[in-house]
Amino acid sequence: MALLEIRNLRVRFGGFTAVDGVDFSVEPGELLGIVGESGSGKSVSMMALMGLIDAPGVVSADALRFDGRDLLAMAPVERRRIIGREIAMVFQDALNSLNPAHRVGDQVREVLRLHLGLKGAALESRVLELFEQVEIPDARRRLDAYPHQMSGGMNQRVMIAMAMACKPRLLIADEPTTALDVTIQAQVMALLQRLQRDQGMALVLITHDLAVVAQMARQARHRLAVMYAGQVVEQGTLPALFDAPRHPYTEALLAALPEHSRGATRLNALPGIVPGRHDRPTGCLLAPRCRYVQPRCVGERPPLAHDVRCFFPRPNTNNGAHDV
Amino acid sequence: MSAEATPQPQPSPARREGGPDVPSPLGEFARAFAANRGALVAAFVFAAIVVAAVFAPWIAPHDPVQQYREHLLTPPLWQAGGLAQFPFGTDELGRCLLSRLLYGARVSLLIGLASVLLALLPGVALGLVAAFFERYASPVIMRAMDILLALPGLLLAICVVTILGPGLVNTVIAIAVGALPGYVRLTRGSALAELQRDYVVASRVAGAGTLRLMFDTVLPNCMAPLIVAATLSFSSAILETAALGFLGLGVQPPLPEWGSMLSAARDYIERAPWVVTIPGLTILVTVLTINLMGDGLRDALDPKLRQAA
Amino acid sequence: MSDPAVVMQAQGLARHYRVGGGGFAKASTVRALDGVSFSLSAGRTLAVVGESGCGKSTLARQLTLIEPPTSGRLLIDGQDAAASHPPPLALRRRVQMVFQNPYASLNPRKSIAQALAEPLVIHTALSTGERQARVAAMLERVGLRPEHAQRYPHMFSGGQRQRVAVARAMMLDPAIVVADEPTSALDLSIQAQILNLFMDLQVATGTAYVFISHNLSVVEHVAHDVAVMYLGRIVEQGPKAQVLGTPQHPYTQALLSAVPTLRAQDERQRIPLVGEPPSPLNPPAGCAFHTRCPRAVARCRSEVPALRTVVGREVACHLAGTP
Repeated sequence: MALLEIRNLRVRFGGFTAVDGVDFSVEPGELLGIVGESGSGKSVSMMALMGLIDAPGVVSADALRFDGRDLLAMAPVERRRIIGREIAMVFQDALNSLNPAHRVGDQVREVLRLHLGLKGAALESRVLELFEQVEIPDARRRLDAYPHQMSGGMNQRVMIAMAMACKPRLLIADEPTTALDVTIQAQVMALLQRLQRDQGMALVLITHDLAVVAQMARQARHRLAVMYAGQVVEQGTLPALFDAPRHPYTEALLAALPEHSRGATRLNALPGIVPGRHDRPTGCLLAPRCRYVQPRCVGERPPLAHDVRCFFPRPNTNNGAHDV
Repeated sequence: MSAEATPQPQPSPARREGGPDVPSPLGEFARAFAANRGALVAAFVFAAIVVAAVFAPWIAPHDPVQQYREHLLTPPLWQAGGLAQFPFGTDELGRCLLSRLLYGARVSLLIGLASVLLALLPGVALGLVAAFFERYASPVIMRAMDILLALPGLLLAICVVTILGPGLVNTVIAIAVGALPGYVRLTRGSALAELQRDYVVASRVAGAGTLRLMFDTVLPNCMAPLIVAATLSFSSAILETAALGFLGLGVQPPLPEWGSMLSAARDYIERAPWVVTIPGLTILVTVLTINLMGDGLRDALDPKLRQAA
Repeated sequence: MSDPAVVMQAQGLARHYRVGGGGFAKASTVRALDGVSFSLSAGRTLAVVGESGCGKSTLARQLTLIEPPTSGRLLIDGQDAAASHPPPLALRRRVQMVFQNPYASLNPRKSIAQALAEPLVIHTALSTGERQARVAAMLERVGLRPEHAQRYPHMFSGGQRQRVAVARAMMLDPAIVVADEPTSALDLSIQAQILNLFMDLQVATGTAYVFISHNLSVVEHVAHDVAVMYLGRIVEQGPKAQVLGTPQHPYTQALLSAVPTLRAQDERQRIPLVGEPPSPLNPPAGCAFHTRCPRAVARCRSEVPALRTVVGREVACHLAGTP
């Protein structure tokens, strides 16, 4: 049974649909990589899962199940017990997510006190244990530091410590390494991989960096999903997606990587920009930018079929156009 | 290798906020302001007050200093003994209350506007200088402002008027002196924050000199809190004028002024309450409408700033 | 074919800041930039690579004449730019800048047309009509519609704003453009568009770029020469193929090994670096990198290595060139 099951999740802000009927599922201990650019809805969908979408946002789904339990049907009190305890989230910019007025040790203690009711010696030893688990050097002294006194990498580790405090079964990491230097990014990625392995934790990794998700996915049982303008356009495992992408957007993303234009002066740039609030096409959302666009694409929205949301998935085999 | 056919980058459409027209910051602000009902109503009421003040000589039924000895302390129209001739009644010297209120509006609004400008313009200039020359100018300017701030506003105004003597012009000066530190601080704080932003550095790299940076680059981005502060200090200027008038230190008779009207009618509060209550209500309504407008301005300007940033 | 002209030369640029030292605390010196030298020719791109605290932002401020150096010289077109501060206007127009954050580098209160016209107003005596014509031409050149010139920055997406920023930098036809992480805040597909724009403009105008970036795959694509910085110094610099292909400095090697790769076969053995970069307030004695270097020896702790030529590039390491 899947640890996390999301069916037909929809998030609307007024007339604007930020997330348009996405399905995700994560098995225990598995890695789900969600890849996309800004406006893809990748962060919003996870925030919706965590109950972090405030009015005027409206969240709806056919199913939002964690460990078999229906999160939507639950009372808010019960839901709060799961979120933060069994499901935890780590964000991009640790300096923005940590409270600048409190010492980092206190912020981790708060989590332990609220969710696990720890006090006294048990609390202290657990906090120290967590700091050491996330490889913060000189942990005992760092407990008393304020966020602004520490580097981005250290703050990110504190965030991870807070998330790991209650030994969650699922960790959602939203662009956890984007704001970090390359060497620190590598360290944090290795840390997340190690935690996932040691704790048997499922990890949802949201990122726009294809190389980061590829490197993480190679080390674990995984599933990947590519999102564009609020929809999942392709999903599958790493070799399928990155070696033989079928959706034109996945193909364009890979082609836009500088690595894939070695020796050429110009990069393969996908022209245009992600449709905003007011220029959502009636047909396929990628149609205005897609180099393979056909008349059918402009008129109809393709459904997700065989893990691809496209009427003419790449490469075109001898069947010609795939009519799904 | 792809056969990307566009050597010339394709022009991409600007993302539009809504509608085909091009809303400037002014247009967007107007829309946001109008969304706040209270502020909109207050704006209309205030406009009515301004119109009444401007056209006082034509609207007022009588000369405000004309004394009608036969009609001392006439009640207003809606009370027993009221006369159509004096819609709001007369005061203890037989002067038409309505006419005095209308002419008094001119005085109050004029003092409000003049004192705000007299404080705003030097205040902004000093604040910008303090922000741009932080190392040397800032301590001097800010300590001077601290000295001014050490005295409560009204007390400071009383001091200035005592030194300079009572009267309209000196009232304006007194109120402006009290309001100056606020503008200096506000401008300096705003400007210091904006100085760190990339677009200011970009202008410097483009070669902009200090004057251009101050007034053309940074100042327009500090306007929002200044506009709100100016609006709110307009209303406090009116209150201070009334207070000074009440104390006999501000505008001198026979120039009609709301505060001195209150003061003069103190003794008649039981016999002829309208001579006190009507000017008092006028002050209340005017200050209230200005404050509501100021709140509306702040709500309309701040989110726009945040969004534009 | 003659060698392209040298447009910018840095000779031992250094920038130190004094911090603290009020009351009883002793003032300390932050050596944000500690002796940087390079030579940049027209039509070439020098990529500056480094992590937080390496001094690349300080270098950007030096090269765009925002701050004078504490010591060293900066020659632009042969003229010493640091001779007077503020620099002469004629020198200013030779170096322009593109910033990282497209949401902060445009004045929110000015229309695009006003922002683009500003450099022309300051440096030229063109009439309003002439300025408008140039603004329209530049907008087209960077891939935006001239009709949108009257709009304000918040109406544009991040990629479009960056195009405006590039347009503004190019308005005066500068010899050098310093680009400080110009695509780091952009999506991948937009990044590709903007990088193409940079390359196209360089081919068309011969502008030299100092391209600061932490993204090594971007650097691999745009750079001719690469300089790797660590704690205010250049530790390795030279042609791209040499520096990125066969890095000689342990830091460069560690940096390259840390870059995540798309394909398993490209994956490098990560050289883990112990601890965090040291604070520029308290740099280690000797080689600044020795506290984290996997190959450090006794000499590294006491002697600062000088840049010397090894295998076709310059390296500041005592052990470079030895197996």
